[in-house]
Amino acid sequence: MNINAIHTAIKTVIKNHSHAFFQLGSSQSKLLELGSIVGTAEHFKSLGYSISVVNPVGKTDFIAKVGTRGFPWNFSHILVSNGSRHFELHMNLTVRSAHDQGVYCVDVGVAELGSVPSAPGTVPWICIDNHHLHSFAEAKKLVIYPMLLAQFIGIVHEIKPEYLNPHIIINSQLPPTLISIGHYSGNSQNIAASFVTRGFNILIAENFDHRLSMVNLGMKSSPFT
Amino acid sequence: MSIQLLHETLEELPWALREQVISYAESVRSALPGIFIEAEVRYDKEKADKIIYLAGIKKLDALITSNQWVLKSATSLLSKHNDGKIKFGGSDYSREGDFFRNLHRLSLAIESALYKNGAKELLSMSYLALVKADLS
Repeated sequence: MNINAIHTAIKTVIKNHSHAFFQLGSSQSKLLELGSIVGTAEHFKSLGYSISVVNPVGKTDFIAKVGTRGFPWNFSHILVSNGSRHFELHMNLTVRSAHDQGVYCVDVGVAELGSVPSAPGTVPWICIDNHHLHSFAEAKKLVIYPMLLAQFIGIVHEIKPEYLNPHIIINSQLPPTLISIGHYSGNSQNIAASFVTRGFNILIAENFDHRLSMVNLGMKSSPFT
Repeated sequence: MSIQLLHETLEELPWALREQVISYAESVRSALPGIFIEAEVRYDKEKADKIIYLAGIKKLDALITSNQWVLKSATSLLSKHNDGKIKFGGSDYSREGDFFRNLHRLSLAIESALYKNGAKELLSMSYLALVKADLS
């Protein structure tokens, strides 16, 4: 293997495609959010679910929700179905806390069918009820460091605490998931391993870009397994 | 040597991407002594340097191919239900869009460079397998 030849070849590619790299760098966060919902849909597909896209009424384009603002009926979502089981996958979905009147926004929400309004109602809409959220995923363009894991556990505790209770068995297609395009740093892998022994039903999907690449190559059917 | 050469390879890459690649290669550098032990192979600095460099290239390749896959998958999924346009905060991420085309050309270019230099197959190998492989 000639490292110098690889160095020269890659350097040339970077020089010749500098604009594409610039676009990639500035779009990475958006693509991570898009990748998170597409990866989640792919995961459901690997479990035998069919997938369909639902756009806002009267629209033919897929309108991605990029932040907390805006009402869900103005954006697209993905419907996953398997027999009598149906879920809606929404980007940046607001949900009520499991404990109080707090409202949180999850990057990808796996919601019960029909729980997210498809049109404005008579009462201003704020969020879905907590029990209508089946699960969720949070996407971070960061390496996985200990405090990120602690923050994620805090999010799960506030939104879906039952997934942290080892005495509750949940028949879940996808537990609350932390998606990261980074690797484990420091002792964070040990912390993540302890989550398993403590009976936490959560998933840490590190190096998510590698995982998507493997799905693309047919080496995996789901980026989460 | 390997991280230094990686810095030189990536010097014209946007900072955010470069940092992700270097950070990943650094994490592999930290893990490698343990992988050599696991592989029951005597630590070889020259081989380790090559693997660390390959790790960086693997991360760069993954950054490109995964994002291209996301765009391809999203547009493929969406094209079954509408005209396949993806609007994301005012940007067009559709197959007809400038970004999709540029990313596709970039992907072809990097794949070609990796194949021509015999690196593509190595990138699909685990680090354990790389430690055991003949990289001379």
